[in-house]
Amino acid sequence: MTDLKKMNTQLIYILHTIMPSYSIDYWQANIKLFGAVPEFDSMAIVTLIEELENEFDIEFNDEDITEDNFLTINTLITLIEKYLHDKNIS
Amino acid sequence: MIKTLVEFFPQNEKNIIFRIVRTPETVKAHVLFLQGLFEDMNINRSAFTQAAMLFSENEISSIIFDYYGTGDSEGDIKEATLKDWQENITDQLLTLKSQSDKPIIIVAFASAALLINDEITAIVKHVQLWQPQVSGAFFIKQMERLALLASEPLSNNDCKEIVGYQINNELWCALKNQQYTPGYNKKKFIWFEFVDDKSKALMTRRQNQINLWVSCDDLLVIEEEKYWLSSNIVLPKSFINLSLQSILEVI
Repeated sequence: MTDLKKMNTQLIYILHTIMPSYSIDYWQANIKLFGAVPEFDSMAIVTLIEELENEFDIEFNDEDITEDNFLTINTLITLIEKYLHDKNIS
Repeated sequence: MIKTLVEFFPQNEKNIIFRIVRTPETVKAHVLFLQGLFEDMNINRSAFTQAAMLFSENEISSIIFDYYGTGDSEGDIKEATLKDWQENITDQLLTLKSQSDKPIIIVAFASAALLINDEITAIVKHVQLWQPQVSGAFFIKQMERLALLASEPLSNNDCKEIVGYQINNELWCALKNQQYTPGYNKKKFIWFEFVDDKSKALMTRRQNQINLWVSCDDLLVIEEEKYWLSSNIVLPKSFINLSLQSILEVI
């Protein structure tokens, strides 16, 4: 499994545990988050941030906690990739 | 027969709290549940009730209460301090101790761990931490992120308002600076940590926190799934059973 695919799987699993009314299959077919999923509110995002920080051993900066970065699964993966890249070169 | 008492616990004029006390006919231990703070409190409610009922069936009495200024307790959260909430705990523990010679156990969820101090630890026989948050700085950071997402700029006034909670500066700073570690009482703690894959090493930040609180024998990694349903965490029945077994082993 490529790193990107693995990251996608990890992210979908976390989204599923935070919003269990949406199945893993749902997240595989739908990538929109912010504004598209009613349960994806600020509380869900903060929970997601904590789970992602624990899962990937990263720490988000405040300036990255924006609607734009949490708009879709893809924008979120791009953000996580950026942190993992920064972590690897430091 | 399990007696359920819903009451206000009289302490002093300021700190009257609402609590639910479940007492089985025979009691071999007492559990004081510590609910998480702010939004965490909503998350743990059903899991604590489920655990309290199971404990009652196993001759363990329990108390679930709302901290001063929260839920159905008296007072306004705007006036609550960390000291008030810690006194809510110690006053109940000391009352229990004066009325019974049975062991007292604390079960704390998430941010409730931030309230634990040496005084509390000294009174009880055992402390169970459920996925605890022991870093005050990190907890406050999460609150700041909530404000950020809700586009609620945090004021420097006496009170900060975050998703409907009005938190005074004294409480805010006290929580932020909270970084207790149990020291010589470390052996009294057991830490339940949920992970999605037991074979995977815990992340450094989390592992470092755990090392300060418990020895590796007292870390129980739970691989089963935890879910949030609306704002409630749903814990597997097997986990609640594990929590009970852990209590039965120490009493």
